[in-house]
Amino acid sequence: MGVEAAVAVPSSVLSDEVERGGKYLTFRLGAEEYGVEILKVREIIGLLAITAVPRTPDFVRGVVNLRGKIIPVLDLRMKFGMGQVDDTEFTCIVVVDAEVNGRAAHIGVIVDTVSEVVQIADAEIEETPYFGEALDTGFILGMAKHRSGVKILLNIEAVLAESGVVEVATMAAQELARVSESEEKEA
Amino acid sequence: MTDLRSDVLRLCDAAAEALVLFDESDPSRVAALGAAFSDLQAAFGDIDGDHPVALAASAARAVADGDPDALGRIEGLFAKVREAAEHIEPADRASVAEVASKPKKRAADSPRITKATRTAKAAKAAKASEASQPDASFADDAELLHDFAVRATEHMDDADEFLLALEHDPTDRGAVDAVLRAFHTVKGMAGFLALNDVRDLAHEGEGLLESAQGGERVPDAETLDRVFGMVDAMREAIRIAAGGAPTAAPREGSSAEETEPTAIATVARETIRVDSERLDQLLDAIGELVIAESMVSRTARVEMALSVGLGQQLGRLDKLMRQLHEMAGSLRMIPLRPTFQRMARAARDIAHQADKQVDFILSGAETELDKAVVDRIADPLLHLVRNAVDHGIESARDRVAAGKPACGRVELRAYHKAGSIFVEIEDDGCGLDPEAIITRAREMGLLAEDESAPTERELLGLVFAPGLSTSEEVTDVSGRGVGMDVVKRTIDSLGGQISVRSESGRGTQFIMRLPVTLAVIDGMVIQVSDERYIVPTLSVVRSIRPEAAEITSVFERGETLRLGDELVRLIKLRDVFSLNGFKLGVDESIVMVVESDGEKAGLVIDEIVGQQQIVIKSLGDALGEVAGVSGGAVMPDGRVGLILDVGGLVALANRTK
Repeated sequence: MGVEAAVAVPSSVLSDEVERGGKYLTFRLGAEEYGVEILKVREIIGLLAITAVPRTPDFVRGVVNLRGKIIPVLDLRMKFGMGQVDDTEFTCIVVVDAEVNGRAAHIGVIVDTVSEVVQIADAEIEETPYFGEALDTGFILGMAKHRSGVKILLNIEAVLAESGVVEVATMAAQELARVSESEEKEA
Repeated sequence: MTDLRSDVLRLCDAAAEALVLFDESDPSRVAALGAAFSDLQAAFGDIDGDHPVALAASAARAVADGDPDALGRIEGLFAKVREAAEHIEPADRASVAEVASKPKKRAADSPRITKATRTAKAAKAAKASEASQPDASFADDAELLHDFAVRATEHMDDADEFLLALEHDPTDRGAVDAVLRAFHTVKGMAGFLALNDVRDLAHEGEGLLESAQGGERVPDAETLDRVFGMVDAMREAIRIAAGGAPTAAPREGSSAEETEPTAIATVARETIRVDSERLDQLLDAIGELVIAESMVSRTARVEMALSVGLGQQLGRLDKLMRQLHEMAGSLRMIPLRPTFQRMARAARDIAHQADKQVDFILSGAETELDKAVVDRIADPLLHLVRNAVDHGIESARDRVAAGKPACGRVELRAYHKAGSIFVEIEDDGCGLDPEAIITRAREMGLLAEDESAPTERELLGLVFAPGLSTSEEVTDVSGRGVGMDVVKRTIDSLGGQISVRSESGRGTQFIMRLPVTLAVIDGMVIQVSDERYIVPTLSVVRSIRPEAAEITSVFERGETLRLGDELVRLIKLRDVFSLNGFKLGVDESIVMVVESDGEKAGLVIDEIVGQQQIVIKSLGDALGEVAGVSGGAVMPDGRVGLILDVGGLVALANRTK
């Protein structure tokens, strides 16, 4: 069995893949079940009053006060282009500890509902199938065939970094550059 | 009691100074020595004849009577004299036990130390006479010295700690390195300040351990004892250096008399080192406490319809909270002065080395900033100062040829504006050379060969590109591995901005905008549509409800408000921020006239909710900068309110139209 597995998976994939098995927090977005590494999850909080931040991408829901610290909150549905739904009593914010741009940051992501914490064995995880160019699967760690159904395992840092919040920061930087330029013109 | 102790310590320093400056051929010095010790004895009051202070005083009298050996006796007694002085108020000084116990423990070694100290003192005496024409711009070196004393003492504390570790495990090479590093750092700092006695001691200390550095030799107990002794001697020398100088300076002018007591008070002031993380936790907790308190008092005010007694109590609580908060905020704040003075010193030395005449002007040194920010900007600032003096200011001959005064001018300024601290460094030198920058940028591939000449803005931006140095010669003051790109990165990482203005032949100006972290500001809470925002009260000029006739539109879009004899352009927050919700006509709205960088604008808002003190918080690293928003604050209801960046908004509105 072990030998077969080694044959089935090219060694190049194995060498740069880390051990993916472990505990995952699973949550739902629509009918789909996702998972993030439990070690990256700081806490789960109910939906708080979110302050919208103007001139940010639509997947940035805004900012909330987490015990005196202000953290940004992202809408994963919008981020994945899944279309908006109204918040329900199950909607909650998963606060993740992520390293973005080399800095540790707390970021909240809004999910439809949190399901459970499951132990997923490495052997249960399969590579992400190719869905064509229309679907960017870069931030999917793999697909887990768990007894309770298939879970899509997210590399949450990649979600936040890849074309995500980082882009917001870059946009802001460009904006600033333009702003100061126009200031200069005025002067 | 504390006053007595600081008096005694001051006299002790004066005596040490008299000892160092002693010159048997100069009667005034001889008299000064006698006077210093009899003053000291008087300050101790009723003491036995065999008390070290009394013995030293009688030895000083013997010196005055021409006994040459008595000087050696005083020097031998001096450590005990200081120890006695330290003991006057032990409760005030946690480290007394430590300081006092060490000389006893290492007593066997004392002759050697005394000798070392004496050689160093001789060096200092030579230095002192050399430095007796003080540079006018360094009249208040006291603060510089105090800063040095604090840092150097910290390094000596480190050295002690690692020496103790070495005693347990003499093979610990990390500890050897740490001790050497401490000596080396202090040596560098002392050398910089021309405190040659401290520098020489540090050098000697380094020498003692150097053989152990490579690990060829494990330091034996005797060596360690000697190093311990050296650390004590260094502490002593550091104290003398810090305490001695301010008393030496006042002879020059009468104005110094006022500064003398404060300078000495500064030296004697005790500080406690606290882990900055713990401090931050305390500040965060206080911040949350303030929020909790304001939520409670809001609810109480609404629900109880305010009984008089409760209202008073709440008011009192509110005031206390505010005080607590202000104190907490100031814990991390330190003035820029010591840093600025180091810059002044560096500028002077660099100018001397480069043989240039430079007038270095400081202003706003009392501006306070978070310590973390001050610490981080020291290196970038030094780099800019170095650039300005070394590369910016031309030689006197070139300057005269260019029709400028022979003496160059470099100005270092700090000021508070629009919730940020600005630090500027401006020189009236040759300015940046656009041709050189373009050539260099082309060589490095930052600019394509065929690309048309960059705009002035792009050009100045290139200054911060990594590796771009247009300096033709590398002098020993430049090239410490800190380039302009590092300067920019440091400022960026602090959440600040740096920009440069330059005019060929006229000079260069670097402007740093730095955040005042943990700052508390007064803010006006405003409502637009369903959103609430905060405008820093400092930027608000006035608020009015305009008459329709006062508003004029241009091309049916750009609107201006007539304010007295001024025309102020209106910024509709609703449009700039694309907010939904019911639209009020401009004449039904309120116009809040704000000012940024001397430019006025009118924010069109729905309502002014109130005024409150707010703690500025970042929106989080992940979100980066958001145009028109400078940060967030936790509102009394626990929600986040966004703080508007007035300058950014004006610029944003310019672009949106």
